[in-house]
Amino acid sequence: MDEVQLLTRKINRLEKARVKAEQILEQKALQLWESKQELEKKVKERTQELEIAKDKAVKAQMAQKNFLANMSHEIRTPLNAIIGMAHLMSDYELNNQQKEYLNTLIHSANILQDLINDILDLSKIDSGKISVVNESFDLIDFLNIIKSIFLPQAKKKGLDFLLKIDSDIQNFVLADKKLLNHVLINLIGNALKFTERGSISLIVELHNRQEDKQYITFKCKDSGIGISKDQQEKIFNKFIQADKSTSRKYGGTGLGLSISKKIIELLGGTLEVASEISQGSTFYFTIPLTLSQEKSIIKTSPKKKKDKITIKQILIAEDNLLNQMYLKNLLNKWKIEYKIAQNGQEAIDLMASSEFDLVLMDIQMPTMDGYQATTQIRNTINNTIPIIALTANSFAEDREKAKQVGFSDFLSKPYNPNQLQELLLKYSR
Amino acid sequence: MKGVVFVGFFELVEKEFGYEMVDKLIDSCNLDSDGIYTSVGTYDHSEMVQLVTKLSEFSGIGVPDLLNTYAKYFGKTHLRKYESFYQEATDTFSFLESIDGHIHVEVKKLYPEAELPKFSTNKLSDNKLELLYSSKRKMGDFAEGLILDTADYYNEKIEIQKKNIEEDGSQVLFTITKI
Ligand code: HEM
Ligand SMILES: Nc1ncnc2c1ncn2[C@@H]1O[C@H](COP(=O)(O)OP(=O)(O)O)[C@@H](O)[C@H]1O
Repeated sequence: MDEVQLLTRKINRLEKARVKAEQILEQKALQLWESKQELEKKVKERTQELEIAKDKAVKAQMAQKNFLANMSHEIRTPLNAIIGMAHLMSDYELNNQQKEYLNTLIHSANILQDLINDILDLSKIDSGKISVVNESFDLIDFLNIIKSIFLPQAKKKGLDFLLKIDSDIQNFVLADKKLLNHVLINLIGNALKFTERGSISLIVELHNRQEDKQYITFKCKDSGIGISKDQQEKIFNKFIQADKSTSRKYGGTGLGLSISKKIIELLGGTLEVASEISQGSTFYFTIPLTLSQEKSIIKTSPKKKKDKITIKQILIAEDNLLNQMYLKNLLNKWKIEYKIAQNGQEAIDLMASSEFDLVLMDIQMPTMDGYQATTQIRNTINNTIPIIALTANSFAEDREKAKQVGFSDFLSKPYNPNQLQELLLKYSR
Repeated sequence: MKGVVFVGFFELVEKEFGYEMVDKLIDSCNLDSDGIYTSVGTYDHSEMVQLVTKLSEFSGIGVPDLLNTYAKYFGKTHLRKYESFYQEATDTFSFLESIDGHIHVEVKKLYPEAELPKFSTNKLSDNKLELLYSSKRKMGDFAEGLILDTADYYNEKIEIQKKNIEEDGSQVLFTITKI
């Protein structure tokens, strides 16, 4: 075989190999493309699945929120009656045994009420319904008031209560007093609960000042039972108590700290804890408080407080018999006349035929609810008469809606006699 | 068997014996592929057996020697393209230890049709490693060449003891000593 022939055979073979290689590559490219298509399809499917899952989660959350709102309503209405009746009962001559029973009843009802309020607070914070409302106030005064609330309780347990305020702190600040108050009361309350001897200190220090803000560190320090390292990470979670015996021994719901933590976050800080078992605990946070220019603080409604209810005729629109009875008893006691409507329509009819000084209107009623009735009253019958909404719904939204349709005020159930009395005084001329 | 093994083989044969030998091999073997190999294709393993056996016949060199030599050539020319595998390991032993769990795993991803041997390793000491080769393709001699080439790459001197665990060569135990 000569050289040329050999070379030709080689070239032939290589040429065929090249064609073959190209075919293989084409095929590979096709496979690659197909698997890419497949992959894209899968990604799409997964994305869809994720979206569906997210949707479900959101719906579940909504359902949970509605459930909370509804439950709170369902619980508040009968609780209102229980607390109300118990207060009415305490006006009677009771023997000691009966008094004791009644006290236990009132005490338990109050605990239940606290729990419901905590749950509602938490759900409000979770759903972003709590917003920071700043007002100008004297921080030092505010702290002294807190001290005056807790000092007697501490003394009763044989504990010292110390309030230490950094002298560099400027008195007048712009902040959400209610939220700050809520947190401090919770922290000091816990400190009192978990300390058997020694002292509780509220230490307030200036952290730093920046432009018109002073960053202030609040420390609530106790010499109580302390919290282990493990537990320190968990106690800020909902419904968590340091150990199972806690709830038996000290009570509580395990909600206080998680609410406080969220509030402090809302106020621009972080709630933290330092603690040593059986040495004590310190809960602390630093938040910015804006310095307030005005030294004179607008005192809340300097209106002279009236001391006598001048309201004579009240229209009660309420379908629940227990609540009707509670109201009737109170009004009888205060010698105020009233008429009762079972629903919104009856209320409108009564208003057309009689004169009233004030209306107490339940929101949820059959036939015509309180919103519809009030809208109609405002539009056609009486634009000025005070109409007070009585409701177990306590969400900010409900209050907002009540205001919009023309309610003058809002009393959330359960309410005690004093709260109603205050309102009646407020609308006495 | 992957085409690259055949392509590499013909390269070496042409280099050592001239193209005439390649042509002669193709002619004298009964190859389904007609000897038309491309590195991206896949061919029957028996074709490699035929080719090596015939080359041994024509050249008078034993099959083990041929495979051993070819493996060293294959390592230097074709495996070196996979730079990153070499860089990930620090020496001969760590490289050999990474074949079964890493290198051949990646190879399989790239070429799902590749037929690869199983390796298990046992480090006896800092300078002694046992490597057990298992494959029904019985290419222990090829493996030996690749091991030697690996040591070359890392500039290490090694000694290999080889022992057939299975008579037919489908399992071979290498005891490798650094010297
Ligand atoms: C960068 C490193 C390596 C790569 C990329 C690689 C890749 C490959 C590929 C593509 C094949 C052909 C598979 C087929 O024909 O279907 C193969 C086979 C083989 N490899 Fe590796 N390899 C590497 C290192 C090694 C080393 C160091 C050894 C020796 C210890 C080894 C031993 C073998 C053996 C013996 C075969 C022949 C098939 C068999 O015996 O079943 N490889 N390898
Ligand atoms: N000052 C404290 N000292 C020791 N343990 C505390 C203190 N404050 C809170 N804890 C632990 O953290 C848990 C959660 O507190 P909290 O959320 O306020 O719920 P509650 O007090 O209603 O159970 C408490 O049950 C208690 O175990």
